Amino acid sequence: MPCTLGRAQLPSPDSVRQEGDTLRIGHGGYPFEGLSGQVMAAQLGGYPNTDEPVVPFTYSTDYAFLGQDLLDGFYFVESTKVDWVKLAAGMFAWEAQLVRVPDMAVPRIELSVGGTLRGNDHGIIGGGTVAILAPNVGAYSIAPGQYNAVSSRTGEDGVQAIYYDTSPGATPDYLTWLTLPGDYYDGCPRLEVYYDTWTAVTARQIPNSPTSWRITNGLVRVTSTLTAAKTELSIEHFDGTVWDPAKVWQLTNDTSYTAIAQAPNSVQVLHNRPDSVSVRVDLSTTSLQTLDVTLRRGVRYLDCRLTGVTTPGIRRGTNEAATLITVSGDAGIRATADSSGNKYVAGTTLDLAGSDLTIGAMRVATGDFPFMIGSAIGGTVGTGLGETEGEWRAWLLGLNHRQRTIT
Amino acid sequence: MPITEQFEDAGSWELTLKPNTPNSVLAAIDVRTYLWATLLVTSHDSLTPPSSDVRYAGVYLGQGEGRRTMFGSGIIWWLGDQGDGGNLYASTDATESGLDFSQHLNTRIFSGTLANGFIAGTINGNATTFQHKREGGDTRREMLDSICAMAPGGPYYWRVDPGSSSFSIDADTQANLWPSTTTPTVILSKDAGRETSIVGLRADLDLEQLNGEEVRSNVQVDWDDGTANGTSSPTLPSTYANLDSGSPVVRTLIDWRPKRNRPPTERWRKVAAWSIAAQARADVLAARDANERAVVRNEITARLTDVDDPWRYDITPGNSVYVWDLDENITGTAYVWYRGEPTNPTTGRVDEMTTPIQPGYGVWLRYWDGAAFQFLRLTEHVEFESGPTVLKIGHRTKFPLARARPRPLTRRQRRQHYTRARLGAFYDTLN
Repeated sequence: MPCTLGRAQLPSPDSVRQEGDTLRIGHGGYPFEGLSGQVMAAQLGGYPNTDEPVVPFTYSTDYAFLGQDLLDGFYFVESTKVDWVKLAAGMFAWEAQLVRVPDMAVPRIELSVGGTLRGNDHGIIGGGTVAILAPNVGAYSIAPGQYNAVSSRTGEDGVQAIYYDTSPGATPDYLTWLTLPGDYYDGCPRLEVYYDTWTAVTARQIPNSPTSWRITNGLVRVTSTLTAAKTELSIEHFDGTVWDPAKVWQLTNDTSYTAIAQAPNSVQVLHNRPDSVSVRVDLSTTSLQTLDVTLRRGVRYLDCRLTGVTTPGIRRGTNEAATLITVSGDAGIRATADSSGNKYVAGTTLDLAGSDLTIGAMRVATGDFPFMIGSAIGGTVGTGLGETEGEWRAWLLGLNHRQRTIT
Repeated sequence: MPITEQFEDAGSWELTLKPNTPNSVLAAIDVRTYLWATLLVTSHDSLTPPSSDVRYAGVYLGQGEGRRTMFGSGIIWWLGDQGDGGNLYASTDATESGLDFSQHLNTRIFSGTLANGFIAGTINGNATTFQHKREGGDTRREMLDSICAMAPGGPYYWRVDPGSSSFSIDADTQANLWPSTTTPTVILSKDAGRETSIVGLRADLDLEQLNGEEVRSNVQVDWDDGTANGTSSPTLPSTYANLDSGSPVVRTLIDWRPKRNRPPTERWRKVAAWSIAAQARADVLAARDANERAVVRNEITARLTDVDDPWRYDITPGNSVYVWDLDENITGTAYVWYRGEPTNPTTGRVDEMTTPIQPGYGVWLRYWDGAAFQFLRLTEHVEFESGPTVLKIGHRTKFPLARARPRPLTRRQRRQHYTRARLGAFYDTLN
């Protein structure tokens, strides 16, 4: 039976040895078909991973005892080995050395939350935002901290508990929960690249494929697309049942919202953790122009930053009527209507220098351009959780977090 | 053989020459002949004497271990060492009034030969006059410290600008001397990477201690008569409470009486007493002191392993840096987009930097031969070393008035310093 180690989907090992708290698994040479060997090798090769030192391991085999698997649980990855020469010959030879963590089967997981309000031109102070935290789908025994108002969102992986606070206090805050190893990644942001199918990436082990990556957290997913040599983000939202039709967003660098005519050169993984994923796309061959795209767990917006562009802005790929979001100046735009019943939301911390409500475009004067693109599922206009301006307000409190197992 | 630079203090340096250093060179650096020569460290080696890229300058004070170890102090030593020695004011007590900040400095420090060759650099132009009292036995360093601390518009700080032939002392507000005070340009974190708008340096971060022993709920001011003449109270967090949840009373007494007999351990009080000539001024300084003491002191140690030539970043003592590590709870209220995350780093002032003399640097000894300055190039004989650059951030051993002077390093401490810098983290596992 196959096993999973973190994001890696591995074939059945031919060697499983336990020595104290150390588990060594591997296979001397597993014959594979297609690209699957390369995919598995890339995934396993991403470990050990400083972003995520402890990962879930699942192994459904004959070792199961009384219906439970004695080896399933959470492990610290000490080392991995892949034989790339054998791989070229069609054999996936691999090895992994794991050390179990205390309470290995179901350890308590803690999300430490830091962060502060993003400086903004709109007079928003901490109490005016709706910040969101979320455990994975399938989490139980959840103990929230200050973010204790609870709601839920249905994503691709299922129903996810959402913890929020309409008047967020000072960080740090802590959210803890229990989860089974098999559920650990459900509803978590996942970075994928396209081989012959979309495949999860382990750590920062990613080929330089600037036009073939995707980040999804089950609620929103963003795909890098390449149309007529433009840097575009194709954004889809899950409306509770299906993925709604994708909306393309383009980056602009002039006052008439012409899309930047430059395909991305490279993609870097800034971090790839179950609580947050971030990539940086490099846009220029002659200067330093980068686009950071970050997706946290439980949110429906992308946290982006465009740097090095003179007149930075964004626009809808195909025109879509927009309405301004006004909070002490213009903070962003939202869709006026949408055939799916939802409304996209795009906003920034800065005061807009211009907007085009026919296209669905906005820009700021100059400098670094922090922005978010989200969607109010259901299309409610308002400042509350999941509403149009509420999405922007949720983004405005910049949260960062780290997740680890505790005892 | 690291260099240790300190914020508003002398620091120290030590270097070792290779075992096969020619005797002719060892004779040429004999401290009996070339005492007080100037060590110059440049970021790049060159065959011509250093001109503009001097990174560090120190005074040469001694030799050890078969003459192959050289050690010394920071260049500010010329105004007074870390103890009470140095260029003393050797006369009766006197009071100077009607002078502003730069006039006081020019009269007391930069006049004639008093400054041992230092020249005045950028001095804050605040024109408010004030009174300064000096006592027989003050060193120029102590006068510099007390004038900076007490001048209106301050507190002012000083730094030495190392040149190649002349050395100047700048005295100004912290923000003017180090623009990074208001806008740090460097963020230290476990995750590294250059950003477009900020330099990210990878650092092993330790929050070594949180020390609240000095936190005071108020400061009582005694003025000239042995009774408390006033109270300065800082604003403490509401969670600081006494045993039954009431307001804590944790006082300290600052005695501003001039010319009283006090044991030398209370130097900082004496420093204050030298300078104060009015109750109102005493109250201002007491309030500043109280506010400094309202904060739990922390000490962050950052080990930067990947840094060559740390002087090119704004991480030298006096500069402020962002430090961020969520796991160590080193966070603050700043907002910095860093590596794809909205981070909330704390801002801390670098108080001490210990950095190895690395391969590639130029090392020179400058001495006066009776007619001209001569430059002796030591680069090819120096036993260079690698190792982390260690920053001590925000630990504030000194309060504005409480200039507790660390003692010069003992021989054993110097060796530990050296070993630690060379072995880095491994050394910690041994000790």
